[in-house]
Amino acid sequence: MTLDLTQFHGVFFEESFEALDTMEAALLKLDLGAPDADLINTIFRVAHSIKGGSATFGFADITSFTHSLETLLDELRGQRLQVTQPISNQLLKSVDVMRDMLRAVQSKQPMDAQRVADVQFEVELIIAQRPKTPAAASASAHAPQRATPQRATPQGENPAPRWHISLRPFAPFFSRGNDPQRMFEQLAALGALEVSADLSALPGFAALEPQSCYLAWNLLLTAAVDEQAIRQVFDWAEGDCTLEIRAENIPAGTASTPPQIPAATALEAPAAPSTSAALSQTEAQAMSGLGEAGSIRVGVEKIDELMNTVGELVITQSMLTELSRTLESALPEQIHLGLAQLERNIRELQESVMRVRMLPISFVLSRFPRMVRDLAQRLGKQVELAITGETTELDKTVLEKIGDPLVHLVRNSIDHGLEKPEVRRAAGKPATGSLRLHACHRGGNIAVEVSDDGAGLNAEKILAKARSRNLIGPQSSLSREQVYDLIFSPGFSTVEQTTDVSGRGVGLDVVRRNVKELGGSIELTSETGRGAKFVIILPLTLAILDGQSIAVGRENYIVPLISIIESLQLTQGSLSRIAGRGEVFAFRGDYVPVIRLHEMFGVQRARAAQDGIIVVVEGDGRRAGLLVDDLLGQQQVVIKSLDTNYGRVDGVSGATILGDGSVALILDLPGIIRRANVRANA
Amino acid sequence: MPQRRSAKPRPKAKRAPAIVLRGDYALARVESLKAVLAPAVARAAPVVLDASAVTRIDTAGLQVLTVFVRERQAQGRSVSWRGVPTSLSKPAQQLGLAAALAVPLA
Repeated sequence: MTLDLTQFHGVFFEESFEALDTMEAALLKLDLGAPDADLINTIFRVAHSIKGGSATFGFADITSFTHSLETLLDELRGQRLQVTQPISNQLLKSVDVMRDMLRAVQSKQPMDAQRVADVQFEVELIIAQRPKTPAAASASAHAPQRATPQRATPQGENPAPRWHISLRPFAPFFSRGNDPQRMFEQLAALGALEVSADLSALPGFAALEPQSCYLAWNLLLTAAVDEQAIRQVFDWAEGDCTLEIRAENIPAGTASTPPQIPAATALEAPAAPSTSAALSQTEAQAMSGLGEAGSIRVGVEKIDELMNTVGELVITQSMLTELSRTLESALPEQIHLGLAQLERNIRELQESVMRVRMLPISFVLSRFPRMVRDLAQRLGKQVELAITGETTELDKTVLEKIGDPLVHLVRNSIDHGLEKPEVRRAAGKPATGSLRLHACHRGGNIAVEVSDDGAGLNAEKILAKARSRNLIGPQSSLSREQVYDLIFSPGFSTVEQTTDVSGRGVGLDVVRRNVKELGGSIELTSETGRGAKFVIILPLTLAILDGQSIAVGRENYIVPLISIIESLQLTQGSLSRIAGRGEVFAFRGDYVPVIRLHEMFGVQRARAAQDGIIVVVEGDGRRAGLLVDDLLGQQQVVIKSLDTNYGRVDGVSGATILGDGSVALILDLPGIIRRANVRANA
Repeated sequence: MPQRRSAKPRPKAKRAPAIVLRGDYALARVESLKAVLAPAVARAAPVVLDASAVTRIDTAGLQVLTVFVRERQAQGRSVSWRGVPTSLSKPAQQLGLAAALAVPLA
């Protein structure tokens, strides 16, 4: 049955964006000297499937643009045109245009029609300027059906093959969701199509069962396509009809066997027909449980909900366990065993669900080949990018945040790290610099490395700049690490001229701060003249936190374990007051400001003023000592968002529910330190 | 005296009464399409199909119409069209049924 198609728009857009990414990746991989036929085929298929999908939904502009693109790709596929740098650039430009067009349609905004027309014209120009051969092109179109969208197939040297297609549906054809009209529309977009209906099996009016199909068709398609392209149109109708395709007049060079698709791209093929063929079939298939067994699309909200519910389960289970502990003797042994089993099961469930939300980092790394290529071209550098460990998985929440810091580091590397080819050659290095992105698991974290073989960090320059900015005293001697650490200072930059790419002082300090806020860190190693390596380390997930539970009066708070430097018992005389700095605590030869949490949160303390525990923490690059009453255990807590359940509170980054059912607020240390500073300076 | 029946004014038959097809004739409504046409299959008078309000029709719907038209033609009776929108003529042409339906080309 014909459905309202708008419900399928979402899938079409998702798949088209993915397909464009595939196309872009293939284009970037294309070695202009020896173009891989498989890659070109992949690119062609992508354009073709997007065209089919957009035709199905009536997105005429996209269909038309993609058709021009497909024509160009067909010329490349048939080797009537060679892949050159300008053509490769033009194809990449077209990918951008298509992305913009899809976005425009998706958000119901107008698209930049002039740009589309310009780029399409450029594509057509390339097609038109292809070298002509002496062989005369024979007429392609026979009398076409007038209203059917017709295009004369680009002829080249050989006349396009004629395909005789016989479609004989079985009776349940319509009710199985097949719509011949849509199929013929797609065929007509491939070339010149003649349709002739076979009415011989039509019954009389009284005997007619309207939902059964008694019609059959004989079609003649004149198009420079292979049989596979035609079969693809009828993919979903397989089993509901008899389909015969016979070629006539096959010129040399047009394969009648389907081209070999490498395994990686074969995954695209099943995905493509789902939008280009009759879509009601997709629903019918999904309902009958057929279809590819490999994977299904799930909305992100569903996973988040699942995570939330499992989080609640963990909390409930720990409450039960806590309860059973207090009632220990009163409860039969079985209950304790049962609860222990429950705890194990729920841990497993939590880990499984978290794995569901884990995605390979390739999602983020995939944008870099294009970015590096464009950037290198713009800055006149030659860069070879190597990406390894792209299958390393991390939680979706972390994945979303890791992109920006990486982009910044990569830009820095290409702009400041890697030298221009002449400079490199003079230094005895190969003219092409190498940039490496590597991801791997390290303990409970993910480590992403950005390394290059460029000029590395220049310690003298950094020191000089830091001195001129009064960041350090003129006489202070610093270790190498400390010198490198200076580049993370706000507004620090040793470049003489900021390019529009980097170095504008929105820099490494922001990167480090963002990474720290996620509970991570940045490592830096460098060798002057040889290169530099930045490693971003982030926890695998942001949904749970390793925390230190502390008590202030009757309240419990959680301090993120990663931010704790040391916890010490307050002793007589360890607190003092320094003019201009307030109350401080002597710690490792320095003084750290003391923050009395009970004052900040308005909580009654359970101890005397000079009694308690100092937890020395680090937040926002600064240290502070939190004065608390007691240290309770260390535990893994499930973070519940305060924002969604209550509202934003300064100094609190979230909350969790402890085993006894009470709520513990999770401290946001940078926020607390800022607040304390403000109060101290007030 | 018996009441004289006032003669009903004869309506000036400028146009033959048409069967009006309206709306969306997708597979779900195909049965109702057949039901709408059924009384007119054997009608001696010329049948006019007014399709101007058809918003959508699919292959199944066109199949019903094709059978209707052919049956009447087989009996030597006529079917003509009034107001054929592109939502009908386009699929008819794409499916190669325009001739069988005697639908004027857009």
